[in-house]
Amino acid sequence: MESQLPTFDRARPGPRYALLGGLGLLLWWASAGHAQSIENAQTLLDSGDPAQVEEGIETLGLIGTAEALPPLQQRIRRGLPPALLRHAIVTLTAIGEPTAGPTLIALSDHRRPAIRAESLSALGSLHLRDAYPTLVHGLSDGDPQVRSAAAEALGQLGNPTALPVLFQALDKGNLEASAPLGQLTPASDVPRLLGYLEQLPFRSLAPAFTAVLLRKDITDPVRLDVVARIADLATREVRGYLIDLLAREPDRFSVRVHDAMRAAIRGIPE
Amino acid sequence: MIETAAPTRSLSLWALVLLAGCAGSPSAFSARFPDNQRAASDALAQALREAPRPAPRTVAVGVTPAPTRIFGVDLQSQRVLWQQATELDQAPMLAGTLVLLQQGDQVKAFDLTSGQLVRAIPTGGLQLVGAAGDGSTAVMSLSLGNGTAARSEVVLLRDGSVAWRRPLDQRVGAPAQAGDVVLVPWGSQFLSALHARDGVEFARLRVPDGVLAQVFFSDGKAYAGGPEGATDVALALQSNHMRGPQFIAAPQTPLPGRPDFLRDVYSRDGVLRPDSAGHSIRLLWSPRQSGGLTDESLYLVFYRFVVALHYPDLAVRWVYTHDADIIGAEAGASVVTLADRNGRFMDLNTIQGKPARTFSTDLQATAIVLPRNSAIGSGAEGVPVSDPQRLREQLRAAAQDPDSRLVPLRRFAVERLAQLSDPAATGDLLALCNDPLVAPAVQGDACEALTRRKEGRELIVAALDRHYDYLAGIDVPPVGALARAVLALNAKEAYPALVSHLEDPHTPSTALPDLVQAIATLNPAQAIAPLSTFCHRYHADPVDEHVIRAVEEAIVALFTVQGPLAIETLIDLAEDRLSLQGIRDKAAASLTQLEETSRLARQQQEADAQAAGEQATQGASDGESGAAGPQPEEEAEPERLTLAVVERTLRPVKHELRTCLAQSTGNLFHGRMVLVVRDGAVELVSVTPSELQGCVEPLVRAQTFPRTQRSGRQQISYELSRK
Repeated sequence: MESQLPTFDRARPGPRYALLGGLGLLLWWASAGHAQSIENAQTLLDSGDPAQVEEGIETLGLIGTAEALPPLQQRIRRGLPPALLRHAIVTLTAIGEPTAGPTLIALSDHRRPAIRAESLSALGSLHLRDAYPTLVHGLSDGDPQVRSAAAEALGQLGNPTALPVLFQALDKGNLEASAPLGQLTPASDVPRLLGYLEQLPFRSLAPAFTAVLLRKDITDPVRLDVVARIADLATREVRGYLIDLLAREPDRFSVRVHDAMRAAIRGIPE
Repeated sequence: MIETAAPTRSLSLWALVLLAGCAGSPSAFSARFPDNQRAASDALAQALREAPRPAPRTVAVGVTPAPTRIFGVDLQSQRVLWQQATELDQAPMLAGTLVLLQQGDQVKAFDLTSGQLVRAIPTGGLQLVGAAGDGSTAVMSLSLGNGTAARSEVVLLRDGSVAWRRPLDQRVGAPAQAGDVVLVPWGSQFLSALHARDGVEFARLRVPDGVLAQVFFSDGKAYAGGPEGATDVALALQSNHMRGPQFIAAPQTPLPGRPDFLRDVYSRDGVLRPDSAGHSIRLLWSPRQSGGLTDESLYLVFYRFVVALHYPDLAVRWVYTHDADIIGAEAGASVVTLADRNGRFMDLNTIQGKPARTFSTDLQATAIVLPRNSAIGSGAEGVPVSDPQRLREQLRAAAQDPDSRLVPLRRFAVERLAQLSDPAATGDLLALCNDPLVAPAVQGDACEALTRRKEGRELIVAALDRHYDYLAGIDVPPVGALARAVLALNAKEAYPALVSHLEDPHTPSTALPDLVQAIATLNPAQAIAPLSTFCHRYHADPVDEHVIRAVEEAIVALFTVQGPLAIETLIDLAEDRLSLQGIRDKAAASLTQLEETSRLARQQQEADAQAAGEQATQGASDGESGAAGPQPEEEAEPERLTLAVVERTLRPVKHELRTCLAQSTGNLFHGRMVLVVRDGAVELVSVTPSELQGCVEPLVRAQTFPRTQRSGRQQISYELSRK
């Protein structure tokens, strides 16, 4: 928030103070309004009527600031029916405050897999570094939906230390680990990723190769290798994939890579 | 004198017997034949003593699967003597030198050593229920029907021909023969002795205390009995009772498959079909001359298993596992001879429970009848021994056997495993309890047994450290059973692991009620926090019925433990309209009970204080006189405790209450308070969030609430607000 405020020249204090004063008034009005709304939301959350509780959650979501979090977190701690709990998690995510982390981490061991998956996805969306162990733990969950959410969230976190466990997850059939592996695998390990082409269906690995091909830190020789290995499969699915990728991201590839992709498309019969 | 006296007495006894037999009655089974006549009994006892021992036989007879054949195998020469294609309704019976088998309305007699058909005897629709023989004579009993509709016949064959037939209108059991003495049990309580030579009955025993279904000779003695036990006939003749010091009682503890100690041939299932499971589920034993059982053991055969049990306490000595179903078996001295479905014969050394001699015929079989004392070789002498470690391994292996037919025996193995004092047995039970491939009944028994173990505590506690892990391929341990086990052991060190499982979503919900109970009992002081969290999380979320039950258990635990956090949680659950109804009711009931307890305590306190005050006033007013001053005019009593009344009462401390909110760590705008007031006295002040409790409660308690027209306890919820 601070970086978005206008900067002022110290030599011209007049207008600066005037503007600050106006802003202060605005903030006062906004905070007074927020306080009122939060109070109302709190009342709704305490009502015990599901519709009103939902309204309270929505009100806090509309407020959308850090002040809206404590009443929501408190209501989550006090327990909610599953539908309202999911709504509350979505709202926590939408508010986008890192202080939501502990609540989401606590919910990652809820008995309902959907709640666990939702909270892991939220942790990924919030890019919370502290959530790393929780997300890694999520890869060992008994529910595939939760494992997928954990893998995706780890990709969003962008922590390369997750690579071994993501590879392990892929080995165990958690195909959602594919995309984060594509995002995190260093260029030197791309051949390892290509090795999975012999074990898993291409459609499961496509997100990984898309991520690799679009990454800026990947050099052309590595990209060309990926294109060549994919082209070796020579399936209609691969052809469609390359056509689609070129159409979607026409400006993301060097001429060499572009040509290689076109050559691969031509080489695969329709 | 003694040498000559005996024959004289013997002659007189025989004279009496003949007189009894020639009184115009049928030669056997007459209704007028006297029971338990001393002279006749003495004559029978003497005849038994003098009877030659039946010649031992070494030929076993088996039945193949369809197309049915019977075959004879000489156990001494270890070769198949003959095979004969035939139909048969039930398993063959050995009778002296004959093999008898029923085919429709006739019994066919085959020569035991050649397999040649000797004779077909019409049965008149009766069923062959038992047979025995000695040398060239064989006696068989045929029977049909029950009660007044029962019809039976005892038939003696001599050299393959019918020598005599004796009908009777009662059920008849399995007979025995030694020399000239034929013993026939009948009518459940009777044992008649007939002469083999002419079929004349010469003695009759009636016992009032047991069932006589079978008779057999062993080592020169006659024994009779049924499913409840057996007795030495000679001794029973003296007392006219089965049950006495000589009685060999059947095990009282049910054994897997409930095999009869001696088969009750009077019952519907008394005669085995060729493919009956009764050939594979049996109790083997042989009586000892001096009383009791040979080797003090009986042997349970259960399909592929033989279990040696000490008699009479039934302690397991060893377990032998065979690789095919056992379909024929006989027990001798220190040896059990087995025959299996693949036509293999084996002597099992009963001292160690290990195979001794074995040979194969390569003939598939559904039933094999072995002669008594049928050991392939001579058995070593000695009482079966039990090596505790080996026994544990044998029991574990039996319990883990994947054969679903063996579940009763596997459960028995678990039961006996649980009785071992070796801590390693706890590990075995843990493994069984935790093995998803083990039959549910066996697994359930193993888990239940864990809860009674006193040994191997550290193994049980350590097992709780394991959690489900998909990537590592680790399965959930049997949390419910482990929780009950650590609770039984009062293993407080398991508390953190228990809490960890309460929080683990992979803990099966069925285990949650046990977990809650263990957590609350092992560490009540610390349990409030995890139980409160658990209650809050699921009180409005019916994940499944086990979770609901666990929350209800947790409510009970919180009520028991009490403390501010526990009460705060109970208030939350009771007041939250999102709570599941049952949970809400339970929490409310707990609160009511708590408040009642609190009220009683306060009343007592007030009564004590009043008594103390009166004493002091009495002391002070002793020297004073005059009436007290005028009472201040009382305000009109409100009808009941309302928000307005509370508001008015708390008005003097309104500011302080707001300050409590403002100074809270969360800079709270709102708080809630549950007040319980009885007749103006504050009984309970519970404030949420709990951090406000210390600030708010003294302020509230310092106020005087008015008495109301409505008497009794009144509860009200009051919002604290900064407004």
